[in-house]
Amino acid sequence: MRPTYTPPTPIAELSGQALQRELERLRILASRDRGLLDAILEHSPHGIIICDAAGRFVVQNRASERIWAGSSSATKVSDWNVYRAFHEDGTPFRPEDWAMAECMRTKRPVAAREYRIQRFDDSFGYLLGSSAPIIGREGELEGAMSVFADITQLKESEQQNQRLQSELGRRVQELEQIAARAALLQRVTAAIGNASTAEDIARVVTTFGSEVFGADASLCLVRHDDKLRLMASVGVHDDELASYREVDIQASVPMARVARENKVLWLSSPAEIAAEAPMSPALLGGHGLEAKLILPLQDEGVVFGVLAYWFRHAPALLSVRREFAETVALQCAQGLKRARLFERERRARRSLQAQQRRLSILAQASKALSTLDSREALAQLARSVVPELTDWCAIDEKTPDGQIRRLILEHRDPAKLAFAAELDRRYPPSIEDPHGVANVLRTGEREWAPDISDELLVTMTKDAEHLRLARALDLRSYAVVPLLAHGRVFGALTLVTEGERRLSKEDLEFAEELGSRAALALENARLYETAEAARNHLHDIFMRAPAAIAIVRGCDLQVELANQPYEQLMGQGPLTGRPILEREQLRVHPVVAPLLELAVTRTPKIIRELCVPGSNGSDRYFHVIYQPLRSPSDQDDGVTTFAFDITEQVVARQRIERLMAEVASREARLKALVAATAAIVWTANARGEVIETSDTWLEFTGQSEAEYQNGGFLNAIHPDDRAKTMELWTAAVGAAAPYGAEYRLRRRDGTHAYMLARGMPVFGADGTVQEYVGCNVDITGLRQAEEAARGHAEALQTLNDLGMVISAELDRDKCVQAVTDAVTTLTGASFGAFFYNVLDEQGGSYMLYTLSGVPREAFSKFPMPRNTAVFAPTFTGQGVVRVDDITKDPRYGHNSPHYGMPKGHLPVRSYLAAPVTSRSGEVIGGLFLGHDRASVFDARAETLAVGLAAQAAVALDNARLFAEAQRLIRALESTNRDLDQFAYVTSHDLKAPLRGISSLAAWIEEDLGVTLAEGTREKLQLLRGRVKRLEALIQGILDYSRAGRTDGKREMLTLDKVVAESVELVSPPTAAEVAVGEMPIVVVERVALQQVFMNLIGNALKHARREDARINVSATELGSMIECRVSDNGPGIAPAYHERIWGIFQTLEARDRVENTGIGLSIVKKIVEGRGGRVWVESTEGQGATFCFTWPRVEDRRVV
Amino acid sequence: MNGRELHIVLVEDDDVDVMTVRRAFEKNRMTNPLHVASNGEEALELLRSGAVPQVRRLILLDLNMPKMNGIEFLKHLRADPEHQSSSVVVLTTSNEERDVVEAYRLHVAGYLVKPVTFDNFVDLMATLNKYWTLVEMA
Repeated sequence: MRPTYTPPTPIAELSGQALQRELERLRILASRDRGLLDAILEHSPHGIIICDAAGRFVVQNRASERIWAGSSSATKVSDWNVYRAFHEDGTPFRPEDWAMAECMRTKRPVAAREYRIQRFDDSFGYLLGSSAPIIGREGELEGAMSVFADITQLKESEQQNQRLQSELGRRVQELEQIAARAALLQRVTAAIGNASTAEDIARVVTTFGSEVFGADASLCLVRHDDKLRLMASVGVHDDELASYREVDIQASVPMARVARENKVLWLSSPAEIAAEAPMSPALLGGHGLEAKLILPLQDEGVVFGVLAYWFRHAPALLSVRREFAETVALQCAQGLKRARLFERERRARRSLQAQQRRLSILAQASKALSTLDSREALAQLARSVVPELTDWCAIDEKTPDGQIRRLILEHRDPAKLAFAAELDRRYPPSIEDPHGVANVLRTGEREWAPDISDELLVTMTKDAEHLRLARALDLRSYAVVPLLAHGRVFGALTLVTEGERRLSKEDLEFAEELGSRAALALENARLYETAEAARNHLHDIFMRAPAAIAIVRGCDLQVELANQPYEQLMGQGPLTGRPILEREQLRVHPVVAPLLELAVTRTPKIIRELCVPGSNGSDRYFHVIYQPLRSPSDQDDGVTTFAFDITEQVVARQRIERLMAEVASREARLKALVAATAAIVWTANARGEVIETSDTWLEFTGQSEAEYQNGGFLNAIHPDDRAKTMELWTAAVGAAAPYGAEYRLRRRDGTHAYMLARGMPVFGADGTVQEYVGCNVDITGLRQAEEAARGHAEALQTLNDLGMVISAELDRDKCVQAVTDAVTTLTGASFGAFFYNVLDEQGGSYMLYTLSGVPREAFSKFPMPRNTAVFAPTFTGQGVVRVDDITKDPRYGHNSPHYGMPKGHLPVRSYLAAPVTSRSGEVIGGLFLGHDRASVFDARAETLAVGLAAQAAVALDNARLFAEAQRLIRALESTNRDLDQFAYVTSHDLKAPLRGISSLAAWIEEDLGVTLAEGTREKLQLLRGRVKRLEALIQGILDYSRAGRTDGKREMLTLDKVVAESVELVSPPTAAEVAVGEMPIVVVERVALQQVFMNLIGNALKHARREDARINVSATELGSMIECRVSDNGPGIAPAYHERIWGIFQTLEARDRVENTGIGLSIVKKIVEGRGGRVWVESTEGQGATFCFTWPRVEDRRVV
Repeated sequence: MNGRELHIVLVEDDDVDVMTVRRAFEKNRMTNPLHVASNGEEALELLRSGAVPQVRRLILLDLNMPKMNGIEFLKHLRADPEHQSSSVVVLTTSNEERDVVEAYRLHVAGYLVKPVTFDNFVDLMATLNKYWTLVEMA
């Protein structure tokens, strides 16, 4: 209940009663209010203290007493300190600190404040109070009031609450911390777990440590033998880091101690640090450390590292933290251990992998090396190690002359390969080089440089340029291993790495392994190649063996191996792998049959000579050996067949046999022959002495054996021939040459026979003469025959010569003389005479004669032989008269006047006379031969005489004909000349007056001029026309007379040329056309033929009667003649006139209509017929005309 | 032309031919003095008589003449040292090769075959005259 406060009505305004009333009211109010107030004051739970302006306590209610556990009076503010209160910081209240005092000061209320009080019973408590000033009406301070409540319990509970809460909070915080730590730990653990390497772990730990512990720096060191090596650090300056890279475990530094003692070391103050590590350098950039935490990393009591945390400001290391740190350390330790294990494991695994890789490479390499192509194998090997194991791989070999030859060079990058090749080319390796392949090849020791130092490069390169290039390759390590086979170094395998890769010991060993395998493989390859070559060679030999070889095995005789000759022998195509018994033809083959026998009988080795019938009767023979094969277990395992073709030998043998038979028969024949032909057979020894007797000699010559031997054979030889014969014989024997001689040998009957002696040396096997064998042939008959033949030959020659003379000689007298001479000589006459008739100029005949063997004077006195009995047969041409002795002939000596030979006549006994008859049968003359001896002329002479007589006849005939021809020719020439002269003169003399007439007529016309009457003029024209015609006719006669008598020579011509020329000479008008067909080639006199063509073509043009005259000229061969045709498209000629037109001066039209001499065709006819040809025309009226003629294709050489 | 005229000696037996030449000369107004001999003998006499000047003379020679024909005359002419260099042109009807050859062998300056027609003859003479006039002037 609020005390009501009614604003006082201003007193002034009130009057007595009212005033009283007001006062009463106010008293009631006031008392009521007072009562309220007292109630309030009494019952209020809050303590109320009211003071006046001086600070004297006016009111203090029961609550206040209760709360304060007493009360006290205060008269002024400064007494208020009996009421004890404390500030938060424990300092006691001054009286003015009270809110009531403050509000009195400020005259403003102070809202709720808390006070910590000490009650009057000395217990402590809390109050919550507010104070307000009491302000009078005028605003002056009248006092203050403070209302407060005891919140001690509240406070206590609040404090309790707070405590609980803070406890809770602390616990929560703790839990959070734990959780955080746990999480952190987990993170750390996880991080450690994730970290695989020790470095990672160390890093994790140090990083976390810094986080977790709030360390300013952390380090993790790991123990390596006696040293602690820094693995990771956080927050440490680089320059300080240096000193912690490696710490000796015996050093007297905290870390070392921890490591040694395996105890956590906590240095929580600089003093401790200094005490522990007086030597430890100033860290953290000059700032001193305040605390260090060093934890050992241990596993099962073995310390393998330390963790160090440094703090600038020493943290309060609670045990929890410590534990945490230890846990972390443990984790770290375990992690590190694990990492180590892991590392080891990984290293092991890597190593294992590397090893596996190497093994696989090795396996690959081995597989590669298993190829027998050594080159390919090496290349594959190189490829298998590059780039997996190494960057470069090279294989070199030692050449037979001790130089290095590079076989293989492999690198991933072909550009580098090219570069290396170029390098090698520029600086070729030499066997003298101290390092590398050369060294290995020389010494057989391996060479390994795990790290190529620059100095090494310098020693291995040849000059600065080389060095530069080598450096450019960035080679880091190399290994060279020798390739050995049978203890001999034949090559080297080189591995080189670049960049970061290095060749480890394992790599080196691997290279060695590889090298040895490669070497082995190469060796194998080489051996294999050699073996293969050898095998091929053997196979070749086998296949090409001159014998047929086959191996069969098994019961079905399977052909294991058969060479080509064998297959050819069987003729069944390829046999290898097939059983012999499979084919009928094979089974019955003669070479196969014994196989079966062998298979059955199991005999060792059969040798046969077999005949294999050939296809066309050419049998072949074989020497066949069947050799059973024995397997290692001594079982019969098959048969080898060797068949040697002995056909040639067999054939040769057969031939020899035949030959021997032949020889035997020939010998017999020879013997018979010798017996038949040779008269004598003899022998002599090598020295030419006749020792053995010769029955035939003795038989022939009648000498005795004793006479014959020791050179006695000479006595049988004609004395004149002895010397020569001996000479020849001695010479032949001396030269061991064949001997030949001719001599006369005395026959038994004393006559000599011509002998041809021949001797041949017989040579022994050593090439020396063993003996001479000879035979003599009686050639008497031969000689005689030769004589006769010679005589015949001579006669023939003479006859031949004579014949030639006769045929060449056209002079009669010379001919006759030749004949006479020949016949006289040949018949052996002492003289011969030829009487012959000639015709004189008058046609009378008279006799001439030639003589041979005697001068003309011997007969000049005698008259011609007349028709006597002796001469008659000759002059009448009856036949040959041959008388051995004319004087004894019955016909002789019957005619007067001499009755025999005229006195002084040469004596004639042998007489031979033959008539000379011409072809016509006329007796031209007679040949008379005589000899003063009788019987000189034999049948041969007679035949000769007859033959010669015939020849003489021919010659005489020819001569006569020739003379006749000459005479005729001369006559003809003379006639021609006369004719020419005549024609010339005629033409000139006849033409001259004509010319005169023509001119005079013209002049008359001129002179008369215009006075000439038309008729007169016309007459004068006619006159001149006639003159012209006459001239043409005269010319025609001249031409005709001359026609065909050109003496041009024959030429080989193509007729079309001749015709073309003729056409040109004729000059046809342009509208006309002359077509010339294909013409044969002729050998003729051109001018004459041309004349003919010109005439015919000219005629055709002249008589064409049309502008477009068409003329065709053609010629064909007709045996020895040619037939020419000139056809036109003119009016044609009626058959009635076909003959007439050829006549001289014949025209078909009146000359007044067509001016035409009519000579042309007659000229043509004359010329053609003069050559032996023929002319004719083929035509019908209106159908054009074809003029034809024949001409000899090759003209005789005629003189016309 | 200018007093140095060419003397023409015509050796021809046929009167008509002589007339032909004369007419031809008239036709062409050729005023050259024309001397005529009817055969070779007369011609030689004429030349030797001196009636014809030595130089500037042209002999037109026919071949077929009595007593001494043209060829014979030529031979004599060429044998005569005084007259051997005289220019001779054969003017004849003969076209026989042997005549031509022989004439040229005797160094004639030309060989003309007399055509029968007069007009050609006239042209021939005119040409001759012109030619010789030109030649003489050179």
